[in-house]
Amino acid sequence: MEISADRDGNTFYLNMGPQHPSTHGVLRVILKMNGEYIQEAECVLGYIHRMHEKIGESMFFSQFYAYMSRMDYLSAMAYNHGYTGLIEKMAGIEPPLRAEYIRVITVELNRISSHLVWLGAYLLDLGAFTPIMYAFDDREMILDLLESITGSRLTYSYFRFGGVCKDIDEDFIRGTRAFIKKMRSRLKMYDTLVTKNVIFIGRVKDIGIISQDMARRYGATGPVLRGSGIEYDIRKNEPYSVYPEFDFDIPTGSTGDARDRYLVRVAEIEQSLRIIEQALDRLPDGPYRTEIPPFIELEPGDCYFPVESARGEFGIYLVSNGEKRPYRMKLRTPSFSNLSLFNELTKGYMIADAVSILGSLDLVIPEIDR
Amino acid sequence: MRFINEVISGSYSLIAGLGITIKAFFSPIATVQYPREVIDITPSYRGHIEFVHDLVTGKPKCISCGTCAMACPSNCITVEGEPLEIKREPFHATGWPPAISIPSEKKKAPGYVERLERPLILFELDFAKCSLCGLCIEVCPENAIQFSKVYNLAGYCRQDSRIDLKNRFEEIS
Repeated sequence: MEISADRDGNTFYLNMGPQHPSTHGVLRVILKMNGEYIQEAECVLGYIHRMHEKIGESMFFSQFYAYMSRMDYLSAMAYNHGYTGLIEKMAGIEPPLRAEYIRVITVELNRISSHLVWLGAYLLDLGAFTPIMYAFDDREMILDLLESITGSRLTYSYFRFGGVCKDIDEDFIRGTRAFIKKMRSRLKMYDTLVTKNVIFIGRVKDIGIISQDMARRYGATGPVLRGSGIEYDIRKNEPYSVYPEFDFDIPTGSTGDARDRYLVRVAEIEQSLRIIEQALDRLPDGPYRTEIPPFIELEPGDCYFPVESARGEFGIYLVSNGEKRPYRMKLRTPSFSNLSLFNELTKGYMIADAVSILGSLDLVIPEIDR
Repeated sequence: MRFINEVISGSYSLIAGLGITIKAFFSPIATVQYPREVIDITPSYRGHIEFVHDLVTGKPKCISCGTCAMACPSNCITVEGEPLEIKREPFHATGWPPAISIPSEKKKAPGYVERLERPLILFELDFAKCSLCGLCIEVCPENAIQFSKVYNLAGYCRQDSRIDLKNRFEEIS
């Protein structure tokens, strides 16, 4: 941190980041302080900008798979789902039903692992060291499961236009069922260890309250929006894939403080487990992939396809002029909108609370800059 | 009274949390002492690409068509082959060398087959750029490449990450 004082001596500027443990990446925040209290927080982006949109415009459609998972390394599956879903919608490709079920299972597993990383890292920000060990222990099971079918542990390129690149086997199904059983018991453990902990409650209760109006104004999505009590989930509101076939709830908060966002995410883990369980029960037999040519061409036109990633609404807007490469690609990432709340949220809070608020927004910086 | 309640419930939550930590203290160890203990790699592990060993001929199946280089999003594959030549050789059941285009029935001399062949000179992979997406493997018309199981890939300079797959194949076989 770097401090520079104003002339009057009361207000001063505090530079937080870009290398700061609580920003989880290269996010720089310039805090205008009045003593211990924050007057303004200006976020500076661009430290990890890689021109993903422009790269997408210079490539064949099928070459862009791998880039999607590099945007949000914690829920890469959902991003792959967004891209493959968009191209399939534009090209009129119908993936087999088994592929859709496999997609839902892997995306939901990935969502749980993303929430577990957030849980551990957030509590680490708040000063609790132990929960990250438990969270990573559980996440390890998911990573092993996903590695057994995709071959990679973090940046999966598993989905293909018209299906997935490898079928799931009996071992995976058995392992997933065992994981569901274990995770249910672990959720109770997290409840005792974290949710009811008096220090944790003190750090998150009534901190960073997002009103419904404010969340709408900034275009917040995902658990940040649902924490404020708005029931909005792309999986329910604009259903895609086979999500309408599953029975699950949208957990929402009441006050919109950091604790509500925490509770929503933990409840989402339980809902994801429910979805996976149903998908495994109803998993149909049949092909997992339809063969389509590797270099496809799209009809001229444009399309927007949103999916619910672990952090909120991720959407791709793509304009095609009938060539093998997209004419324009726009990526709408949830963390960018969620971060824009930060300035208004932190006004009047202390630095320690700002760290708590920043963590509760669940930001992934490469996804903000993309 | 309320204060005392808060103190009691707060202390209880801390003790309950501590109980979980103590329980974990006696549970089995979750970590592995890496250099001394190594976990088996899953069969679907993605290392850098390598040539498939053709069991019949013992040579790589690559016909140096360059489709993998075209499909690669990061341009990390360089393929060079000799100029196209038509080879006439006795037909045998092995199917080697693989043909780019099989001549029509009319031209086919009895017992012989004409093949368009492009012998491979160089197949180089710049692993520093590779993101292991697997597109090269999927587009290969001859199924000539696969993921290897190599995971110790540290090097001292940038040139260490350039892998000549043809040389590597000859060294291994």
